[in-house]
Order: sequence, then structure tokens, then C-alpha cells
Amino acid sequence: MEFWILIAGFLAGIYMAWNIGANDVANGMASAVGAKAITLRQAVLIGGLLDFAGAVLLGSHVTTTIRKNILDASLITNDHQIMMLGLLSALLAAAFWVFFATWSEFPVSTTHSIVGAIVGFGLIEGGIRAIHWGKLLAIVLSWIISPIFAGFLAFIFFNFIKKHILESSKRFATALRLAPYLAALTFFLVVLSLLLKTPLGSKLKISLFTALEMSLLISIIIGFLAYFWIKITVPFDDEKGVEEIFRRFQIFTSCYVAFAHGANDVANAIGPVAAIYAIYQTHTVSPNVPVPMFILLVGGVFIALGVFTWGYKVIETVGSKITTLTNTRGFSVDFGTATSVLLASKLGLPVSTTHAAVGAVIGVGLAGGVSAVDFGVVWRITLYWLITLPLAALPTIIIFEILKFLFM
Amino acid sequence: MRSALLKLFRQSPFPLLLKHAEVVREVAPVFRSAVIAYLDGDMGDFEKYHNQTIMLESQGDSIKRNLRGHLPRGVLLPMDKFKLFAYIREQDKVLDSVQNVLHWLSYHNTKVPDPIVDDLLLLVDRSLYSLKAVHPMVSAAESYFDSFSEEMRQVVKESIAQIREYEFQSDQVERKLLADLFAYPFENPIEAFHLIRTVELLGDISNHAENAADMMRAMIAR
Repeated sequence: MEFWILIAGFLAGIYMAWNIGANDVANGMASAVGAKAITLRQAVLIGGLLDFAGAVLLGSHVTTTIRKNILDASLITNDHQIMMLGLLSALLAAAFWVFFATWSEFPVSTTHSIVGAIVGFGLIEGGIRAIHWGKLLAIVLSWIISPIFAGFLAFIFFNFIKKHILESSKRFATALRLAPYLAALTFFLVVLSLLLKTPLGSKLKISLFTALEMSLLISIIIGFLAYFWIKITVPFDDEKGVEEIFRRFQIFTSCYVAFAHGANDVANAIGPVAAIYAIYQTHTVSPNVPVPMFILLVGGVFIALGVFTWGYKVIETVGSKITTLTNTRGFSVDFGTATSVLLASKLGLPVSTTHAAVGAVIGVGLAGGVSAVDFGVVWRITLYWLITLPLAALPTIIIFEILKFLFM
Repeated sequence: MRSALLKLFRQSPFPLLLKHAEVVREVAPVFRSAVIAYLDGDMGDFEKYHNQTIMLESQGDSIKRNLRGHLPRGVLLPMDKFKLFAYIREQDKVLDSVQNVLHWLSYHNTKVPDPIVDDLLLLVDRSLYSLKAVHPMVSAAESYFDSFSEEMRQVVKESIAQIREYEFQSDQVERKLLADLFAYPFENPIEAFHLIRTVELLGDISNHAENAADMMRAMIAR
């Protein structure tokens, strides 16, 4: 029976990973497609490959958090089969909820679904005490803080671009002068994340200070390269030149978003799978199990497959809707989203990339960068987010009871 | 598809503002033809152009309502929403004023004295200049709010200055016309009143165009 639970868990995890690729990658890539920074084909390639890379290189930390910190396994059960069934139920319920949300066009977050589903299992089997409410509260707070932080960053960034570049009488010259700093800042954050968060950093035994030094050095070099690259390749044009500079930057920020998305969201699919796999192997419910690389690889592969098989349609649709986000706006949105998500990922908090992107768009809107953006949607999203937790928990309870009746 | 981003973006007000400004531009030749038909005593043609103007004004109203309806509470714009509403109200009043002139003319068939005709046509033309300048101003404003470029802001400011200049010229002609009308020995006081009120209503066209320009200036203020 355990083998079949493992297989079912893998299938549900694969479906979740595919769904993340199919539906969620668009939220990061669409602004670049809408602003014509990259073509649809390039977006699909970047989204697929860098989401995969982010999932594999940066994913393990968040995966561990979902599994370890929301539930207190010792208070739920010592029966490893019950734990496997519970995690499978959570995965199936989250998959069902994500499927229903996709079908009914509810803007529901994959992250919130899986967290809600796991909480549901914890409640039915272990009761209220089995949930680490403090950790759950931290996660819920991160769901509120991450879009606000992304919005704040995007607001600051777009306001800076607006005041210092767009409104300047020498737009192109100013953009050229400031471009290396913006490029350097973006790369600084990417390199710092890579050094501090990936196995590369731990293998090289890099301290925080060394990582900061290395990131600074690399970003300074990138800044210089960006200056010469832009100076040589972008024709001097006060009207169109500025957007052209940011169009090029947006190619990189799109990569940044895709990478951050993979790092953060792969956990939604493979977190419970990794737990089921660990229990299957050890026949014990242990709170500390390393996440095997092959599971991260499978998660990454299916996220990429989701992008390749269905995500391109979503990217195309969303991209055609948000054409008002020009390159300067898109750059600010991407930067705010990715930084917020990577930071949350670094802290081990499973935040929603979609919600960070929504926050970033609102931030640019508040800075006057979007022709018309509906702030009211935020309340509706918050409502969906509030109902996602119980609505994902409920099917988990039902599925778990059915599975328990059938197999135990 | 369950992307929250899809629901986040609302229709920009500028396509509808431009559509409304197009109606304002379209009404100019119709209005001029109506006044000429009236001066010629061709009431058949006058009514034809009068009806066309009513249709255009109704179109303008519908665009204005559509624009307001698509900007509920919570929608963020690059400009103050209430300034935008005040702007569209003034731009729409330009159309209302054009219609009011023709409504007023239709109430009485007054023979315009020959010495007045030229200045009356001059006032019509000056009013129409300011009316035609609305569309380029809105178009430049759309580009400005897209690019935030100082150059485009200057274009908007120049359009605003031009509308103010036309309004000033229209005021000058209006004052002269009023003085002439008061000096003219009308046999029928109703005709005197009818023409004086006509001139005042004609003056309203550029007044509202200028008000709209002032609101635009407030919208692009930094």
C-alpha cells in the first residue's frame, strides 16, 4: 500500500508542479512579454529553464519549511502510514483546489492551497495543538507583507526612474548614466542569493561577508559591462532610447523573476512528496529529512513542462492584457516581485509570487506608472486568500477520511 | 486560467477621452455650417445641422458616462481622478455650449444686421479654434502620461496656452460684438435680446474649452 501512496503522491506532486508552470509562471513573465522586452518564445524558454534552475538550486530551503514547521509531526501520529496518507490527502486536496480555481478562474494561490491543505490534515488527525500556530501566523503575515514589500520596492524604483530619468530634460543621457547602477543592483541581489542560498555557497564555505564582497565585485563588473553594452548598442534617442535601455534590463529581470519563482514555488508541489518519500524509505516520521535532489529535479522538470505545454498560452493572454506596462514599469514590477519573493524564500517563508507581482503592479500604479489599475482587486484577492485556507483544508479532511476508510 | 494580474488592469481613460475629443472636433464644421445656414435664412439646412449637433452631443454624453462608469472607487490613475472627472465635465460642456447656441438660435428666426455678420462669424471661428485645439491637447497628454517626458509635457502646455489665446481672442470679439449690438438701433427688442444672448452663449464655448485646458494643466502639474 505504501508504494501506491508514494506513486499517488508523486502523481499529485507532478500535477501541482505542472500547474505551477502552466498557470503561475505567467505572473512573472507576462509583463516582459506585454512590454515586448522578450518574445513569447523567449519567455517560455526563460520561464521553463530558469524556473527549473531556481527550483533545483534554491528550492530546498522552502520545501523543508512547509514540511517541518507548519505541523508538529510528533503530535499528529507515530503511524507512518497515517502520515503518508495525510500528506497524500493534502496534496490531492491542493491539486483539486488548484484545478477548481483554474477552471473557475478564481485567482487563487498555489502556495495558499498547499498550506491550507496541510493545515487541514494537521487539524483532523492531531487537533488544534498539532499546528504550529506561531509558524503559521508568520507564514500568513508573510503573505500580507510580501506584496506590500514588493509594492514598496516597485513604487520606490519606478518613482526613482520617473523623477530622475523619465522627467529629466536629458532622458537618454541620464538613463545611460544611471543604467550601470540599476544593472549592478539587480545582479548584486541575484549573485548574493546564489551565493548564500545554493549548495554552491555551502560547498565553497562562503561567509556572509565574503558573499557580500563577491556580489559587490561581480555587480560592479556587470555595471561597467552594462554601460558599454548599452552605449554601443542602443541608439541615442531621448524619446524611445530610455525604454529601449529598460527593455534590455527587463530581459534580465524576467530571468530574475523566473529564477525566484522556481526557488519559491517548487516547494508547493514537492514539499509533501519529499515527506512521503522520506517516510516510505525510513518507515518513521522524522521531522528532519533531507530533500533528495531528484525530487527537486522532478519538480523543476514538471514546472518547466507546465510552461512549455500550457504556460505559453497563459503568458500570451496575460501579456496581451498588460501592454500598458512599458519597459520602465515592467522593470520596476519585476524587480519588486523577484526581490520580495527571493527574500521570503531566503527566510524560508512560502509566499505567493502572484501576490508579490500584484503588489508590485499596485506599487507602480501608486507612483502613477499605470494608466488604470484596480486597487479594489486587492481586497478581492485578500478575500480569496482568506477563503483558500479553509477551502483547501476541508477537502483534505474529506479525502483523508475516505483514504483512511479504504486503506487502514 | 486564474491569473490575478488579468483582473488588475482597467481600461485606460485616455482612449475614451480621445474619443470624446474627436466628437468635439467633429462638431466644429457641423456647428459652423449650422450658423451659416441660419445667417442665410436656410432654416431647413439649419435644422439638419442642429440635429446632427444634438446627435454628436448625445454621443459625447454617452462617452462621458462610459468613462466615469469605468473608473469606480479604487482605480488608480497617473493623475488625480477628480481632476480627470472635472476635466471631462468641462470638455463635455464645450459640446453642451455648442448645442445650447443652436438651441437658442432655433427659438427665434432673427435677421442678423449686416454690420454684425462678419464679427459674428469671426466669433464663431475663434470659438471653433479653441474647440479644435482640444483634441491635440488630449493626444499630447496621453503621450505625456505614458512617457512622462518633459518634451511631451511642453507640447501639452503649448496646446493649453493656445486654447487660452483663442479664448482671449474670442473674448475680445465677444466684447466688441456686445458693444456693437447695444449700439445698434434694433426695431424689435426681442431680436436684440436674442442676438446678445447668442453672443454670450458663443463665448461660453471657448470659456469651457479654456476651463478644460486649466484642468489639464492641473493634471500635468508636478
